[in-house]
Amino acid sequence: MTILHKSDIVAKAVYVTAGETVAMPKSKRSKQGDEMKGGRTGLPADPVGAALRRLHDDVVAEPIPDEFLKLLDEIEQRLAKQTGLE
Amino acid sequence: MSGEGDAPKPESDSGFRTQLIDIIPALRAFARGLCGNRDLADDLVQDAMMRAWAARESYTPGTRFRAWIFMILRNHYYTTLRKNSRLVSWDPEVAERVLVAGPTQQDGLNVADVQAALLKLPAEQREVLLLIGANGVSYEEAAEIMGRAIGTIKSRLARGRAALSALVEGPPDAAEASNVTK
Repeated sequence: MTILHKSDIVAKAVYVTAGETVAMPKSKRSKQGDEMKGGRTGLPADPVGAALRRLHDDVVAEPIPDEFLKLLDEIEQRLAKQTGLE
Repeated sequence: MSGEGDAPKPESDSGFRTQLIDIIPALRAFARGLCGNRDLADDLVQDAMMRAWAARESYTPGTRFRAWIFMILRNHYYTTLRKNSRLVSWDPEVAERVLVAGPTQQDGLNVADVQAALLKLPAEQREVLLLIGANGVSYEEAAEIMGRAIGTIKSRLARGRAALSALVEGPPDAAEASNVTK
């Protein structure tokens, strides 16, 4: 029901504005944004920014090495002892 | 949190541990970007984790944990850097191992080139590029991490971006150059 209602409004908006002013430019704009980000030429609008993000994402995607979890266990044990001494 | 009493209640050890584990990937990415070397970066992260654990009572639950621990890591990085400059040395052979995903031309720029260029920048520019450009933290949070005013963060970011672009894409054309010097 809601969906029908919504699409009615959108259809009406497109019709009323004859595809020119309100509804159409909005959808066009988001498409243009996508193209700028990488579509046609294959080059992003901000290649340096994209490379920086990939630098980050590549590392984040790696599984956490076991040594980190082992370290946490060791720290907990060691600090438990230390607080006993203090 | 239920314990909003008189004094801020210290995080339980298990809660603290969970937060630490959750932040490890982002810490590793930040550290690797700073020193460009996987092993050194992981050492840096482990040192930061130990320091964070030892200082866990100084963390106020409900505040930004990421900012708190990133601050510990970057402070430790600068302390270590003063003693040991190898933390920023760029070794192309190591770089190949660091960048496990390998370079692609998909986005127009080679990630290894960008990492190499980052290491040529002053550490203060490198760190702001990594925090905001790579990790996506806000200006405000970056200011908190670096202990500087937001205005300082913004100008470092602008200078860093310009310098990084010049290194990886060649010198900017005349129009861009006039913007950069403003």
